[in-house]
Amino acid sequence: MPYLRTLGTAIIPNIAGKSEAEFVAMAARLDGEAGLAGIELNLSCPNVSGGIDFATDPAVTRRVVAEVRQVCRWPLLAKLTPNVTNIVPIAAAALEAGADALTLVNTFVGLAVDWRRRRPVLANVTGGLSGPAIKPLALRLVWQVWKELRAPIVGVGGIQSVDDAMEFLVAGASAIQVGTASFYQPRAAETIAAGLPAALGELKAKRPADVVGMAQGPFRADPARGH
Amino acid sequence: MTPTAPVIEVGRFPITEHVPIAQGTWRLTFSAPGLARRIAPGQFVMVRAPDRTDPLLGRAFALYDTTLDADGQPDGVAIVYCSVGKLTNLLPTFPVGAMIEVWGPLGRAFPDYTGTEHLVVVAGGIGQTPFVSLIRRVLGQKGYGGQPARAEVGRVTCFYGVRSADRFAGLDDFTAAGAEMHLATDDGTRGYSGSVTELLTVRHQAGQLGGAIRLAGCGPEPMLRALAAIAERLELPCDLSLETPMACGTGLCFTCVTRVRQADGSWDYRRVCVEGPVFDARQLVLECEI
Repeated sequence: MPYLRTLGTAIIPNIAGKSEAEFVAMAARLDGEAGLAGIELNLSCPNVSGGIDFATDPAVTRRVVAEVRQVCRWPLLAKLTPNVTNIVPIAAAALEAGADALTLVNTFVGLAVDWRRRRPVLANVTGGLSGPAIKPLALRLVWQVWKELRAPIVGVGGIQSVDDAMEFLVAGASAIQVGTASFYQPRAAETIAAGLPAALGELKAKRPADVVGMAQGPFRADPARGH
Repeated sequence: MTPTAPVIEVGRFPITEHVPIAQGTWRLTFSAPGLARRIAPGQFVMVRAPDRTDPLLGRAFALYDTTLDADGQPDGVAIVYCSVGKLTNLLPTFPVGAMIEVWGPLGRAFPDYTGTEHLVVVAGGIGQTPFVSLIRRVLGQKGYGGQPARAEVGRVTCFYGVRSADRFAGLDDFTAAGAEMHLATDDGTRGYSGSVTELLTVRHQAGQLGGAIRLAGCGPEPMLRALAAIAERLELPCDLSLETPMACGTGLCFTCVTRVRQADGSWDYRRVCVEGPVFDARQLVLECEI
């Protein structure tokens, strides 16, 4: 934390626990830290949660978020899993329990298999699939939750360019995250941030907030086409 | 862990030389003057094939050596790789002039060996890659990382082991760098028949290495375990450069963590990319001691 504070940027720690008590303990500790922009609850990472997916059950999601809400003053972002039949009731439960925003979405459970050796590639058998391959899947979930709930959404999943970022914004996200692309394009986040004003300008917008959910209507005439 | 924001170069750089130097083994040089001036032995770069999503992530390659321009200034970086996976099977199709995506320099260099009389480097297989530049540096043949050439040690001996003789790569480079070479092959096709760490033990017991030595090693994990055990038994300082697979090279992904001993005797995970890849062997938990 002392190092992060030297960077002059918003700090949002992401916390993951193996039990509700661990979430509460971490959130309480971060409550005592100064200068956070929020805390993201990783309710759903198949890679780090020890196999427990809190965000597959609306009731469990509601309980964890509500308990954390009581011990922590910072804005809460609930990061949800896409590996569910219907994400909307889970997103609604998180918001009702006090989450200020939803981070959509976590990684998709995938499998890599080595057919010659006739076994899975990963020791854990399955693993999280992230990166460009999941962008259309993540976009669909952002679209669906914005359509149903009109809540603040942090869109994430395969974003590696300004175009990708704009797609998430107009689909319903208010902000975006860049994960995997930062692994193979170390400057991905700053390149996207630098390119956003020009892209927003193309839609006659000044801030990301001006374009959130724009693609979901009401229908906007395209003056260039004379509608 | 006191991170300082490292200044890394990120860009596309043209391949200036690309030659096979052993069975399934290539030396690839690319033009990148800014990177070449700053990179030091033990550090590495991440390399990626541009404009494609498979393979999506970069791969880590140690500095093999820098190349110099007509004025003697570093202008290129050479890596040596063995074709074993997706990227390393694709790379040989890249001709001179093709671009590769690179970011670096990354990680920590080998420590300053000033005060060491005799440095003994032990290389297993493609783990030989960090040592040509290290030998040149410590014998004062060449400066790296913006430093002028300055001898740190009086003598370097290199133990180098491979599966079979056709896998020896860059032996002329090692000799030109000034190392005394001791070779081993698993199948006995050249040099000592057996492992490189057995050869080290044999030569040490024969008194050929003298007393005041310090070890540095890189290679497959069983070799590193054997080397660390030898260092502990002989009470010799030993630095190991780890080749842990990495997804980003910059400390973000935590793919490359290894177990490192803490002051209180316990161990904790540390990222090889930012806190290594060079570690004091005594710090590492190489056996399964959990």
